[in-house]
Amino acid sequence: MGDIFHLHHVQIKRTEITIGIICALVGFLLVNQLRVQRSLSQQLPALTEQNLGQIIRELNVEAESLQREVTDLRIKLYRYEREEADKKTILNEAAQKLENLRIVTGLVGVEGQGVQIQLDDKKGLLGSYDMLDLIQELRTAGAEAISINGRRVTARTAFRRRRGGLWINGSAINSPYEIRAIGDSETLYQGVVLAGGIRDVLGSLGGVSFEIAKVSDLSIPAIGREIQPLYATPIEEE
Amino acid sequence: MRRLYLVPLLGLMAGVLLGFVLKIPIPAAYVKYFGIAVLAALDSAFGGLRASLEKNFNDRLFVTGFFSNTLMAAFIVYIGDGIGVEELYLAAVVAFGVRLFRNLALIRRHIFRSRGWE
Repeated sequence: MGDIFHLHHVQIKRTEITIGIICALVGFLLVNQLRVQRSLSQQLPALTEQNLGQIIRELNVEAESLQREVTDLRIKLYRYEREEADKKTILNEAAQKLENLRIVTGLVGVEGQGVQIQLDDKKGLLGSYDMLDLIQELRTAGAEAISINGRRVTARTAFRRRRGGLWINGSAINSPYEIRAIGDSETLYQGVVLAGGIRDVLGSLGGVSFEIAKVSDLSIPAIGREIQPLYATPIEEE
Repeated sequence: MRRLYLVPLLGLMAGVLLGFVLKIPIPAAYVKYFGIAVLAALDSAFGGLRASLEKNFNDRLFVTGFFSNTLMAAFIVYIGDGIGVEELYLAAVVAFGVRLFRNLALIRRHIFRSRGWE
């Protein structure tokens, strides 16, 4: 009897502890859940559908304006890049132009194909006009650079005949003359050897020998000194 | 008979106190599952109370029922979300809610009967 009672007592006790623990668990879970749920609903208190819609609209507007800004900046960037490219192009063109001018005016030594003429004037018959004729003939045939006895012939070159010789820009040169012209060698050659042309005219003079040869690699020096224009100034273009 | 209520009440109070003190955070994504689990736990607790009043309380059945109900409830809701049937939590809510009210009604009736008020 006592044993049974004891057993019953133990049984009750274990059950009670179990129930107590479970109840504690229920209480804990309940309270914790209530707390968490409340803090969550406080976090997003006023976020009704309308509010969310408002927020989305605002964000959309902001995104749109940012997108516009991006587009504007892209356009600006593109413009700057193009300007930069234009500047480069202009600079390149200017450099190319300058180079051309330096060649034309004889400021740089040049090399290339062309013709070389040996003109021997034993009797001193050749005058400055003869030389000018020859130069003109070469220029007509497209000579880009000409030299006589190592002196560059430019737009400012002047010929004079003095004391049985020729003067170029104030310095004397003597026969035999070596004339070099850079340009299309075939055209230059044909321009000079043309029937009744400059070779025939000059070669027919007594004591004058005229030899011309096509050369694939001629070199012509620059003019001795640069000429600073004192009076001529460029006309400003509007 | 009074003593029968003493331990559960003490346990409940201890749990509530613990809940206020410990403040265990639950990630927002899991709040829903915990809610259903709490409902299941409540249902099990009332189920246990009713069983003890009806004198067919089995502590093993009670403990296993408590845990399996709680876990399964949360799991079913989780599965529902996983397979795109978010409304599955309604099934758990309805099932546990109905059982909760039935248990409460039976407990009330039992108390009335035992006191001879009926």
